[in-house]
Amino acid sequence: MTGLTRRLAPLAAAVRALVGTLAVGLVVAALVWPAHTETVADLAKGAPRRLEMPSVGTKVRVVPIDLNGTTLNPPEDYTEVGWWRRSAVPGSTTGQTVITGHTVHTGGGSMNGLPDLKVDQEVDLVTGAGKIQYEIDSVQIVPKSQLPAKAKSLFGQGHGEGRLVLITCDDWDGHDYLSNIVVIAHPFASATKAHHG
Amino acid sequence: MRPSMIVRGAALVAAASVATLAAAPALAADPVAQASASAVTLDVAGQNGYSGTFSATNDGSKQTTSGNDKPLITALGGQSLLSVGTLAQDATTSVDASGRGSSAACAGLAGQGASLVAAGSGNCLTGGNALQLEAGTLDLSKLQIVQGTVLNGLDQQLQSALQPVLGTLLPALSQALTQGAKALGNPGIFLDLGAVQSNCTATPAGVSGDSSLANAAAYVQIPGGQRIDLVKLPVHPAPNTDVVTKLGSGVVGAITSALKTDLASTLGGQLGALGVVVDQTAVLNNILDQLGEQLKPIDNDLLKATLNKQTKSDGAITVTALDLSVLPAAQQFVHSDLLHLTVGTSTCGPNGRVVTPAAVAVPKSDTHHSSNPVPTTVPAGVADAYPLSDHALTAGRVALLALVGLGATGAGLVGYRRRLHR
Repeated sequence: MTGLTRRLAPLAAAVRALVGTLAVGLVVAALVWPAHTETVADLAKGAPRRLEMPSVGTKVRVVPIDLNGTTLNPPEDYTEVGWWRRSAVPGSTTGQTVITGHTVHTGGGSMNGLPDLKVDQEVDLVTGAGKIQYEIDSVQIVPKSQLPAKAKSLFGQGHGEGRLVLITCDDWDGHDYLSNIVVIAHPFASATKAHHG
Repeated sequence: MRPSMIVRGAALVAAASVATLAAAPALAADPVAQASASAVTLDVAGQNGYSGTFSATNDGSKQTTSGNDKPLITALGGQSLLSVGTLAQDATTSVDASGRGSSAACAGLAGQGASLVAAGSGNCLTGGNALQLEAGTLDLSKLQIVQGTVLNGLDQQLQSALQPVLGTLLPALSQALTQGAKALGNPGIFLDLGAVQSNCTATPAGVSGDSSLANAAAYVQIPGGQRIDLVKLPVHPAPNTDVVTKLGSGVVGAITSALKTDLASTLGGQLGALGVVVDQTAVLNNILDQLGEQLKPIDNDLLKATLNKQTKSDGAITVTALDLSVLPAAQQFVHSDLLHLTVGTSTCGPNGRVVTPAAVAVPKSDTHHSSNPVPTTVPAGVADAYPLSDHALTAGRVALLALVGLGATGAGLVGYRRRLHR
């Protein structure tokens, strides 16, 4: 056994050196590695002020809103939209930014144009720091009865990589709205405002 | 030392390093304290003039700021309404000995000569002159003589006698009205703003915020010097104080009085000999009443403002000192580039606590967020566009719809029952 130990000694030393180097390297990397990779959207990161949907000619004011239990009520002013304050700040690289506004059956709602949006079209959020541009990935109709089952996927903040989720009502049956319409978009560019003075 | 122990020890060090590496973004993503401030936002004719936002965040070891905490009012692009004055927007954070975060912010606008005070002391502007902002001008060129109402109240015999001269009388009155409106010019709607500002704090004990509006008032300036006060805004308004400014009978009266002289002399001249038998005062009053009717949209709703606007959520507060809009109903007679103005928006929190090293070693996962509630219902549809300034009417309309729905359901049931009986 002594002979075997003696023969393995150089190998053990090599392994020790390798693991030591790896550990030190990882510690150094952990200290110097940036918290997250800066993306284009980071440049204009900030609370949203205005939602723009150029393809349907919509420009509306954004105000922060909160959950009431598990109900997300849009702003009472149906010409505005609400940013769920506990969702991701636009420009974040984690979570998802959730915005809702009213559809008004007789017209005039801030999100009346949502059903007309198409995949690949652009949606923009203006923040205090600039504008973040999103490209639409999907437009889906979700029956209201199915929304709770999809809630975590659509609104949860543990995933999403900074994508934008727009939601309003759809499917008017003459008395009520039977579905929600959900538009999901990912950020692809941003433009910052220059500061003077 | 046995090789297996060395390898195990090194592996533990590597695992700890990997855990630290994984935890590093989590630390950066959840600030221990945060606040932000924005002095002014102006939506002017589709352009967005704003002062930017100054933000402060604290990761538990140091404060990081972004944005400009001393923006110049001349840098507000896309508008010419505000060109002199002092802007303030400041935010600060701190972490106490037990690692709990606090934050404070203040933001506002004042006239020239105001001094800036750092965030954390309440207001961030002191002194300074009041500044004046022209929110719009009244466009009187749209006033017109309405033929059908000129002879209201006169007896039938006189109305018949006047019919032959109406063809020349009405154009002459219209011309007199146009000339009178032109001579009167465009009365301006002005805002006087002293120091208008908000502040907030978010501490482990809770959140709070307040606003103050020094010497803030709205008035109409009639060309030629007459100033008619519309509303004086309270210095310390309660949270979410709504103010709807009417033009008021004073302004409508001033306008119609100014037009009265021209119209009266034109009327007398055109009537000639008929002036002796026609009640000219009645005809003139008909015309002036009709002009007053036309001005009603601005008499009812001109400007809408929310003072000390506050929204709170868990551990966070946003306060806006003044949120003002020219109401759409008024835009028929108000020539205005200003659609929306916000002054002094301060946001504090949500804050947290410095994560202890033991907790740092736990890799971040979705469970961090999944315990937080997410929306399961989004009631984002309404049947009709209700009047935004009249909640009672909205409730009444909902009740009416409910009654109609109930009636229709009842009728349907009766019909169905009858069909069953056949």
